[in-house]
Amino acid sequence: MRRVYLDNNATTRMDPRVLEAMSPHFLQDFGNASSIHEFGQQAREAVETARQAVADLIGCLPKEIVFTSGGTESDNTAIRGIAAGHSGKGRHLITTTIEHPAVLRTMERLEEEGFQVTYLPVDRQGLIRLDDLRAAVREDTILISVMHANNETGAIQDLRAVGRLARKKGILFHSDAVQSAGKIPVDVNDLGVDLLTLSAHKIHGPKGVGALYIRHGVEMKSLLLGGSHERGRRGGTENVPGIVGLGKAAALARKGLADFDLRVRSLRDRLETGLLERIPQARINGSTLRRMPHTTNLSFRGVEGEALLISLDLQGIAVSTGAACSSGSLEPSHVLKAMGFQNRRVESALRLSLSRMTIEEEIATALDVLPSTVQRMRELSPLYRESRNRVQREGQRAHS
Amino acid sequence: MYSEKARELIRELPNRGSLAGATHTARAENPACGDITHLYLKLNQDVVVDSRFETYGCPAAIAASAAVTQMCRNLRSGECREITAESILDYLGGLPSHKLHAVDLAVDVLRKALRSNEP
Ligand SMILES: Cc1ncc(COP(=O)(O)O)c(C=O)c1O
Repeated sequence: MRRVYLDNNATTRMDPRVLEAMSPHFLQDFGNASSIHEFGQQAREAVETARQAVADLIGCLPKEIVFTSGGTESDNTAIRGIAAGHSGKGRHLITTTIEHPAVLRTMERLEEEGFQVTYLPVDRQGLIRLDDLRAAVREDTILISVMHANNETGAIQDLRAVGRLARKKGILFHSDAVQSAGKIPVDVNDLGVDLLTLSAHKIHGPKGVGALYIRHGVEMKSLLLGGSHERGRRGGTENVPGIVGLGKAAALARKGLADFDLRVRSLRDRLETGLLERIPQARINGSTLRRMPHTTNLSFRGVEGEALLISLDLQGIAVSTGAACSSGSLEPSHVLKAMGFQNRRVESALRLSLSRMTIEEEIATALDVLPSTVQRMRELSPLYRESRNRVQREGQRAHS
Repeated sequence: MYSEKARELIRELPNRGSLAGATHTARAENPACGDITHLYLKLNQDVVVDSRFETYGCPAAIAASAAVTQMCRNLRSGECREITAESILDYLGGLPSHKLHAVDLAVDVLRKALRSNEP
C-alpha cells in the first residue's frame, strides 16, 4: 500500500539535506557552543551560521533571533516575557480566538495571574476585523498577539494592518508564524512585528527546535533562567544539531518559496477542486482568498471527521480533523467554532495539508480514495439520509 | 489507538444499512457528543436472524454498533438483553479511554430495539 501523507500542518518529513547538515554535530563536532576550546568554537560557528540563515528567512538581524525548543516555547516566551517585562506599564493583552493552544493557554494562565486578555472574534472567513482590534486597544494594552496563518484553515491575517495600528498606539506586536514562515514570504519589517515565532519541524526541519524573533531594543524577561546563553534571553546549552537543522531548513525553505507558491498551490487546488467536483455537499471552511497555498479544510455533510480520518488511515491516507494535539479529545475545533459554524459542520471537517514534498501520485490517490470513502460513510449515516431527504423535499416543493 | 477488531469493523462496516423486513427498530442519540445510531433487527420465532445498523458518529460509535449487529445474530431476545457495555468492549478488544461512552449508545439502541415491538 502506497502511503499518502496530507498532514503537513502537523509535521513534515525532514529533508535529507537537513539530516546531512545535522549529522556531524552528534558524533564528531559535538562541542558545547559556550566552550572556549576548538570543539566549542566549531559548535558556536555552526550555531551562528544557522542564526544568519533564520534571520535571512524573515528579514531581521541575526542578533534578533533566539533559538528555542520550538513554536510552543517561542509563544510562551514572547507572551510571558513581555507580560512580565511590561506589567508596570499595563496588564492588558489582545489576541484572537483562533490561536494555537500554545498562545491561548498562555494567555489564560496570565489571566489567572491577574492580567486581562481580550480575545478577538473572527468572521466566517476566519479573519479578524481591524475595527474589533481598534476597539479592543486600551491605555494599558502591552501586547497584541495575532497569528499569521492558521494551522487548521490556512487563513492568513492582515498582519501589516495590525502592525501599523500597534506601532501607532505604541503597543508591542507578536505573531505566531509557525505555519507561514518558510512557506510564504515573511518579513518582520514589512509586517511590522516586534516578536515572531517559528518552528523547524513544519518546514522539513527537526522536531523540538524553533526560534523567536525579538526586535532589537524590545525589553522582556526570560522564561528559562540559567546560563547566559542566547544573550541572556534563554538559558540552556544550545541544541546544536537541532539549531543547525533549523538553519538548513530555513535556507532551503527560502530558496523554495517561489516554487512552493507555484507547485504546492497547484497541487492543493487540484485536490480541492477535484474533491468538490466529486463529492456532493462538500464545503470549504475559511477564506479562499487570504489562504496558505498548501492547506484546505473541507466539511463533508453527514460524515463525522474522525470516522473519515480513521477510514482513510486504514487505506494509507493520513489527514487531520483539526489541530493534531486536540484530536485525542472530544472537543470540536475551537477555530471552526469561532468562525461561527454549527457543530455538525465542525464535526465533519477534514484538514488536508501539503508540503513541497507532496507528489502528484499522492493527490491522485487522495482523489481516488476520498470520494468513495465519503460515499461509504454517508450510506451509513442516518444524518446524511435525513438531510438528503430534506433537500429533496425542498427541491420538490420548489418545482411544484 | 483503536484495536485490531475495531479497525476491522470500521474498514469492513459489516451489516451496514437499513433492513426492509425488520421487526424491531430503534434510533438512539447521545446528546453529549451528538452521535446518532439506528438499529434494525429481524426476529424469527424470537431469534435474531438479521441485523443492520446505521451510525453517524466517531469511529468508536461505528465500531460499537457494528459489533452489536454481529453479537446479537442467532441469539434469542432474552440473550440479546444480556449484552452489556462490558461485553461489547470485550468483543471490540477495548476502546480508547475517552471513547468508552460509545458502547453505551450501542447498548441503549439495542435495548430500545428489543422493546420496540412489545405490545
Ligand atoms: C500555529 C502553531 N503555533 C505553534 C505550534 C507549536 O509548535 P511546536 O510544535 O514547534 O511546539 C504549532 C504546531 O502545531 C502551530 O501550528
